[in-house]
Amino acid sequence: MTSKLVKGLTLTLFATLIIAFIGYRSGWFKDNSNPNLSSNNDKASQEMTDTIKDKDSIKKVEIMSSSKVLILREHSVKIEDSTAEEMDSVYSPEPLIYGSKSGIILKPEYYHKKDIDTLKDQ
Amino acid sequence: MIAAELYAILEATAISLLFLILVFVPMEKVFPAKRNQKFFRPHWVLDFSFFLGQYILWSALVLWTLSYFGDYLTRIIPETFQTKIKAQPFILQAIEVLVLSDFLIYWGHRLQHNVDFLWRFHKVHHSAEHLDWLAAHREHPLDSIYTIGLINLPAFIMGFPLESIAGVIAFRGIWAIYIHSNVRLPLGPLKIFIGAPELHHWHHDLDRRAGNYANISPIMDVIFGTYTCPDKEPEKFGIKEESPKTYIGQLIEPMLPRKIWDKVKRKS
Repeated sequence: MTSKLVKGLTLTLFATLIIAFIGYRSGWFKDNSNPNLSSNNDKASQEMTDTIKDKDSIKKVEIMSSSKVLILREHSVKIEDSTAEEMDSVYSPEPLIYGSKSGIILKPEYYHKKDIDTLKDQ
Repeated sequence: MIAAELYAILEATAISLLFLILVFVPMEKVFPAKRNQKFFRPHWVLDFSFFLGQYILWSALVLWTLSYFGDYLTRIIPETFQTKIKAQPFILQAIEVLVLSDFLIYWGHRLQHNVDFLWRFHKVHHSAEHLDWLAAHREHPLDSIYTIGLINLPAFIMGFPLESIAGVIAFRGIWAIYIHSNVRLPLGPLKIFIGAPELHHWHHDLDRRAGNYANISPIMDVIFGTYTCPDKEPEKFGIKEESPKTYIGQLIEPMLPRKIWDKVKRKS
């Protein structure tokens, strides 16, 4: 009886964490609303940030896994673009598929910091 | 700036490690394939070095290389071809990308086991004598570029937006670690459609050409006659050849001619 309970709980934990991970990478938990943006100026800054997102020096990459490495964190690469270098925010273009062995789970805080820097510079 | 980046990478690596332990260790304890295998089993440190290497050093290099390669490919493919592809229903495009990826990686992987030059790099992954979620990370970075490049090739050529199937990609990624874990939990009839540790463990048998080359779904193995699923675990994992027992050795050995490697070994 105890053994069945432990097995059931283990399977439930496993399934829950995998579903949560899939949800995280699918963006289910992303909160787009920002309660701190209340004034018109803040909204203008946000709009400006949105506009320049397409011209940035940081490119987020997602790739399909093969069979060994899963890197669970989101990764980025710098793109060489003179316009992009002048503009400092986060750009999310085409992703990639991972190999079957490694993957990346998390989005480093670094990108959030870059977003804040962008607003400061405006 | 660099310190902030480094901190972010280390933080993400630590959280990822904890997450993977939470996902896989309870399964390995409750449904073990090898009952006597401990958490800190032999060569744990070597595999942990590979884990850290993947997260801290190599993943950025692999992604950078593939991102540039992907952008280049997408640019040189005629726009008319990509327009025709994109005119299809989205679901059809997604199926095409996934099936073609599985097809390419199946044959690419089979070649890794049959062509000596490719095996030099791929054998690093197979040198693991104890399989678990951590051993999944034992992979030479050049092997990663080859494998991940192949599996993403159809998407590059078709110009398919992979972020639209991020959930499928995430599942494939985490399942790829699961099939290496020290778990035996037969999936019943589902095992024809989705890979399981019981299948992939046989791929890690001492016999270099043991079969089960397919990526996530074993269907390619069934189609091309390399599917194998005995109702027991292999006695031993690993390779018949001698392989370095250090992280640096594992990285360098495949890149050096055998004579030079032998000299390096003698001197050390």
